[in-house]
Amino acid sequence: MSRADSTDEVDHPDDTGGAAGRTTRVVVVDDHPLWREALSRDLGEAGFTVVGTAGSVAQALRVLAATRPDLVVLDLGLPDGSGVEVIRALVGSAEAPHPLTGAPVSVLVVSASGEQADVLDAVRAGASGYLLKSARPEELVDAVRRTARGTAVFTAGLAALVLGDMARAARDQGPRSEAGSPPAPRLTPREIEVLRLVAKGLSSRDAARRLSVSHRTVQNHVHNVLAKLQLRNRVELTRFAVREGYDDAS
Amino acid sequence: MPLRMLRGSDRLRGPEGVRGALWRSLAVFRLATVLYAVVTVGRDVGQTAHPVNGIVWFGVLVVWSVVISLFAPASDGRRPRVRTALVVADVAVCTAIMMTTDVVSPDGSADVLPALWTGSGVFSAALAGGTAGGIIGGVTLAAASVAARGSVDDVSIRPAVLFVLSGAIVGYLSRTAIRAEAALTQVLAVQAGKAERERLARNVHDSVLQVLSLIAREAPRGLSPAEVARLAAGQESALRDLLRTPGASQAPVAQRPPGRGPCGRGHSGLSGPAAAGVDLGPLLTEAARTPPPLPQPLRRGPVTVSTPGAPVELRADHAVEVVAAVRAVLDNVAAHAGPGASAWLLLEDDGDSVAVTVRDDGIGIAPGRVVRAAAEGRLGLAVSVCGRIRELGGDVVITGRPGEGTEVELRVPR
Repeated sequence: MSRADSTDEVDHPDDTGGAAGRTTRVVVVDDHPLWREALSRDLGEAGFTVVGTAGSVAQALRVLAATRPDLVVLDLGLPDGSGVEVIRALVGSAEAPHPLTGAPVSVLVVSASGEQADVLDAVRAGASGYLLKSARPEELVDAVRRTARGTAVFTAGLAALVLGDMARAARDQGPRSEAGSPPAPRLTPREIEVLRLVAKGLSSRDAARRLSVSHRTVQNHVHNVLAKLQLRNRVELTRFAVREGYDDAS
Repeated sequence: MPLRMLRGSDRLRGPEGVRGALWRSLAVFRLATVLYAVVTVGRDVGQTAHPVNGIVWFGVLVVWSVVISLFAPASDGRRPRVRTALVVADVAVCTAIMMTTDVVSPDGSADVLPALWTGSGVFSAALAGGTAGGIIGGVTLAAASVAARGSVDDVSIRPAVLFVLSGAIVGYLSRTAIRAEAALTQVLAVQAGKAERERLARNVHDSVLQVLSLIAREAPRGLSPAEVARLAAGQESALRDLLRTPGASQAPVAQRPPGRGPCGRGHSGLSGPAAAGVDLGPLLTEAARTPPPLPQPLRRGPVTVSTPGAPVELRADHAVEVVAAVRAVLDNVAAHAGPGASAWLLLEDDGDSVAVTVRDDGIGIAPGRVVRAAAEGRLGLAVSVCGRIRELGGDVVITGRPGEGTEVELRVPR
């Protein structure tokens, strides 16, 4: 499973700098100026350094290349496209660390409405968390803090989306598996159990108590779910490429 | 349960839609041609060589006309195999009738009269198979007409050409009518979706306006920031739910009947054929947004609705029951979970079954309390939730410990 391991390293850096003595450098991408200012102010008060803000995909790419932040707080509904495009440019592929910032970046999606397909796309593309804008300011700051630590930020809504996506994939795939392509990763029963608890609104601490395991164990499960989701994205892309390749040869 | 069937085009087309209308007009054609055959040829049956054969021949004509007129309209669209079998049998019977016309008209001079009835075989092939079906039926009966005559001449060619032409034309026209009907249905569904969205939008916009004017009026007089935040958050989530509610793109759509019950709750907002699927997600989102009934003294905390991100389809009549059960659970949260208890609603699609879980972080319940409450005659949760769900062949699991909230899982089969 060297693939999975390398995925882990790239997508989930253990430390984005918070513990290394300097503050986490953050870029806020949102098309609403008031929101940008309010969030930047909250993050500044919480001890983060907001090194830049952007209001569009194009602007975000420029700001990110110039500032090379540790973390991006990203809105999905931008005037010139989806925030998912920003994530794709940032995270790049597992094989090639993204060319834009030269270092892995954590992405926290903070979106105004539950555009569910977009949210799932964002997480599959490499975002490590998702929060609604209606979250309380302290929840938001806490989520940014957790993202900076490399912890996945799973809300109930996101957990339900992921559960649904994995269940659909399992149904579509069925018992047959395509020869010559790596099997798409599936969730273990325990991971599904954890995800269901999160989807029912339990905090990871409450979920741990419910399952009589440690808080850390639950976080690991959530982390693995995220890794599998992102890996599956790549497996599907590979399959697509293989299929297209065969088509060309014939 | 006031389930109103409100398909707008129903009045125009009666049961089974355009297909039903086409089959019924074919039945009228059969009836008219049977009468025509009986009147013109039947009265001479006594003068033929074998009157018994002639009577049997007419008997087959009448009985088959009745059988196909009764069964073909209902089977079309629903049971295509039965329909195909009936149509093939119809063409066969018509061919057989055509080949045996000499039983009633030994001199062969009147064979165009029963030929009129055998045209119904061509038409049913046309209704079932479109232009191609009509041509196949027409060619079959044209061949039978030539074979019955025994020679290719004016008398046999004229009906043969008519069979093929009318088969092709009726087939083409029936397909055109069915396509037009499908387009109309789609337009109506889009309109219903728009109307529903507009209704939701009116409600939401109205309440947003009210809250904004309340803030504008009260803020200068010292409305507390916490209260402003609470008001804004409530409207914000209502607007977001509205954005999530499917608009014109999704059909069939929920519609609220104009006449709501005295308390306006517990009534299904569904219309349309019971067997068609509806998406549970938006229905549950709306159920979660509806405030608990007024007598509840407590303010329920926020309800978070989490869905799998793709439509979760369930038969409309089953969806009505599930939504009503979920409402009952949410009302129960408002009544018993304690002030400000938050609730989470999770919708899951397992392929064969659909599960809705409602969890709250309230005061929880003692084990067996629901059963005890039912035994004491307080039937709320037991009847309105368990009863409904078991009726659908599903089951309900209620878990909870004092101080740890309550979890109600409803699971119904597809």
